[in-house]
Amino acid sequence: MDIAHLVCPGGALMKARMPARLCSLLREPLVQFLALGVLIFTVDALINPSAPTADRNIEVTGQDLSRIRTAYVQQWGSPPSDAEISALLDTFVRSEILFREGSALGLADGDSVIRNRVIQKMEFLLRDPSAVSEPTEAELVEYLSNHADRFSLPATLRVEQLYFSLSARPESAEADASRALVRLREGSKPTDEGDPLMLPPLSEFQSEQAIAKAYGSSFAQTLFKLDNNDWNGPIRSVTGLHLVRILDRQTERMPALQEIRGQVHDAIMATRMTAQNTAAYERLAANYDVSFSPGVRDGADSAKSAR
Amino acid sequence: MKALFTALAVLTIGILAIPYAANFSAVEATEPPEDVPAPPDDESIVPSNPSKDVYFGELHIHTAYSFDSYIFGNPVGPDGAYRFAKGEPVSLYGGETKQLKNPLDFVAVTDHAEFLGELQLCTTPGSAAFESEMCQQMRANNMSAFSRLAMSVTARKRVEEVCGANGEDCAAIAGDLWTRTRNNANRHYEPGKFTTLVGYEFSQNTPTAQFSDFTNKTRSDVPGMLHRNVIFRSDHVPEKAFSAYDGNGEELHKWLETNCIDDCQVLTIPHNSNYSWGRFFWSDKNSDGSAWTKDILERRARVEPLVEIFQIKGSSECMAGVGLTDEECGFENTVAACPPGEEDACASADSFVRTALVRGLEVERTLGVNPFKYGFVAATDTHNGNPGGTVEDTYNGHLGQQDFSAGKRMGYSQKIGSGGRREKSGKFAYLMFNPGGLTGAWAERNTRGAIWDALNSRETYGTSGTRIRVRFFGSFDYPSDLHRSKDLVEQAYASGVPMGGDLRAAKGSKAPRFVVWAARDPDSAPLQKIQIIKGWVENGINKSRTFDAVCSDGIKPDTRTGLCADNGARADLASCAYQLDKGAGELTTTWSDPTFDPERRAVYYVRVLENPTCRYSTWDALRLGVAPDDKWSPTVKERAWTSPIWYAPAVH
Repeated sequence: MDIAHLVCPGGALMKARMPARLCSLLREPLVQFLALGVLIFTVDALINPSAPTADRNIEVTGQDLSRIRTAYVQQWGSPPSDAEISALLDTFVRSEILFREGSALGLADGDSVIRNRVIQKMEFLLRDPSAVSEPTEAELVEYLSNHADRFSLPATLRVEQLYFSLSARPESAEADASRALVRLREGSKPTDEGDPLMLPPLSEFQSEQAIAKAYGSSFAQTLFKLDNNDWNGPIRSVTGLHLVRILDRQTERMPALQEIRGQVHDAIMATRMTAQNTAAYERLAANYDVSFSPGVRDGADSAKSAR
Repeated sequence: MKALFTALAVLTIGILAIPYAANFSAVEATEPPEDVPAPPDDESIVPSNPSKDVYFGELHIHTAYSFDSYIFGNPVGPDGAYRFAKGEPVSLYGGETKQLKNPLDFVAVTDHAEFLGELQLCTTPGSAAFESEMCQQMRANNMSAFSRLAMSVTARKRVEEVCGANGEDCAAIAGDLWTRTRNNANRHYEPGKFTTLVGYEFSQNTPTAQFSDFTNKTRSDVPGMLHRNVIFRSDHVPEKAFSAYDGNGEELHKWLETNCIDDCQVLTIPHNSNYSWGRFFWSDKNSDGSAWTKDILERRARVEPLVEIFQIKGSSECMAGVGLTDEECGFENTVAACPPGEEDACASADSFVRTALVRGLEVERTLGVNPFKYGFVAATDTHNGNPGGTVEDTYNGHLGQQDFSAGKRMGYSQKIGSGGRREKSGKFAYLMFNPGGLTGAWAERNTRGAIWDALNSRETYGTSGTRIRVRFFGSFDYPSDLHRSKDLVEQAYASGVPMGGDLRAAKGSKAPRFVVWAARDPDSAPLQKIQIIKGWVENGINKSRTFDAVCSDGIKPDTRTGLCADNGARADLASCAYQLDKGAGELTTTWSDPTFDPERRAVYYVRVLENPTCRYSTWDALRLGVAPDDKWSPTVKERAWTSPIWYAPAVH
């Protein structure tokens, strides 16, 4: 019995249009196998109402912890850190839940290789791209406005400079710069003064972070605090003293959606895929009662709180 | 019986499940990939700066698409790697979320071409190979899978249980991950802001490498590397990534020249010559021992303009005591010097770039072609998918599970011993490696074409991980005080050549002048000096000499030795604070070669040194509360190496 055949384009039971992704999923033998399993299980449950369901109590004991540790040491040759143990315990619980769910669907017979295969299949099934929808225009707009800090473009400015190198004139840079500042403020253009500026000249718009990369953060901060368009300084960078005049500023702004449509789209899809995967697992896990024997979680918990 | 079953099941789960959930999603093996186009990047969209700016990046990163990275438990795929490079926070192996303080300007993700097919098949449930022992071992992070694969590369025969009798299954499906590699690069390319270059690593071993059980019987068994990165100019790339299963390095060059044509352009960059057992730079034969041909040498000279001079697995510039006396060569050497007469499993003069540069002069003189005319880049070779993570005090290791914590790197266990101190674990310590380097590229704009053109013309330099800025130009026509001119850069380009260029032949005996400039990285220590290293051949003997061109703190080079006295700068080993009152923010000078001979070929390159700062191993020791391991220097002088400028006399 081929389910895909019945409900996908061309099939006898095709009443509604099936999305293509769902159809390709239905054609997957694994999916059909599982769907069949569910069918059998449901029928069985109806016929035998007292048939066992998955045992929903999981207790992680000291013995389990010890086995996890041993397996790790066998694999890597040295014991796991507290943070790694915490992650291993989480994975242990997750694997146990997935395995029990898969077993309840009739997929395992106790063989350890099959057990692993079941867990892998369930992981694969949890990731269901077809269950994640593309965002609408309204959703793109809303996401952008709710995450403004992530997408906003920083303030930028561009300047004119005169530079005095502390290496070229270690004793006189300060005095030379101050003298030149006076002349600049008077309106003269001392083009013959100063030293070659080999850092990016900042004649194009740059953000504070971009300027800090070459000039140092203290210079960049001071520059962005200037509130006039006159000659200022000397301001010190990692290489020397700068007289600067701001030519033009751009305030921090939010780009229009069409400028960054792709980025917003990708951000939403990434969030949705993660949420879908988490929700699918939690739906299963919600039916389980997980407890840890005393002492099993202690080291792991202290690692978590230390992070 | 049931208890035994459960025990076995838990054991298997314990091994299998941990990495599987983490890595699996990184490889995204579902439907065949559709093409993602590259965004437009023409002149109207991204303007040019004719004086050029320096862009920082790197061209050597492994993600979960690389077989070995996958086995080491790395959960980061190419998508995560690009986002990390752009400055976004990414969760690395060990669960820690890290973020670059300063994003990179360009990056090439270079996963191993050899195993793209194997990785695809082993992570696709339902594929023919999924249940094979090799694939199960791979998903279980089992190192014997790694050994078997590495051996199969040496033998040039793919593992049959995964790839089929003639390797055809793997070859057929490798195209999927190769297309995804290209798509990932296109998806993250932001012209003018962040350049992604499509590339991969060609990972050939030395011909007699043995990987079984890592217990090698003789020197020639010890695996050496003949690895090269392949970097394309655009997303017009061949259908497949020619790998070490397909041929050796010389065959790679030939295949690329035949298959990357029209609007496809490519260059190759060898790395880890320190681990090549000398074979990359042999003076008269190819790396497999076969004889040179003019064809092979000329092709190499066309396709291979650069060498990766520094990375996590050590410096390949030079080694103290191996063919020279330059004491600054004792920097991040990871391979022991060869005993007399040996070349395998050790470092001889043949293993180092400086030797190759000088050797190339002689080959050019006698054969008319220089196959070792290398410009420099540096990179990490991280297998954690975190490009540019080169800062010493936040180093996260590079091999996933193997070295992600200070304890693992130093070989300490979690256990506190009877003295109240951490105990040694007896495991291999990773202290010989370092956080890796970066590439600086001088380009007119931050686009694929401009960055690749900078690489191809060698207008690049490598650093040991910090963002030192450095300019280097040479000419017979520069005035002696060019470094004081406000239009230095315009003049330098107009009447001379930048790093990577060739001086014209001398007219008369006047020596050329070189103008150098360097500025410190604001987040690292002040500069100590700028050096110029000259190489030449005299009476058939390779020679090199280091000159201190300009030093900090007003110190002048000694007229006889050409070297400066130490400026006395130190780093405090208890706090790792470095001095700001010694050293310079900026150094510059115009230098002339006092030993210039117009009839003799020569090669010149610049090395810039910072004041000493703590090595990451010292930071690790401080954090663990243990003494630093005395096998490694507690401090390093971070540095930059520029591509050389070459001189050749007129042909008579």
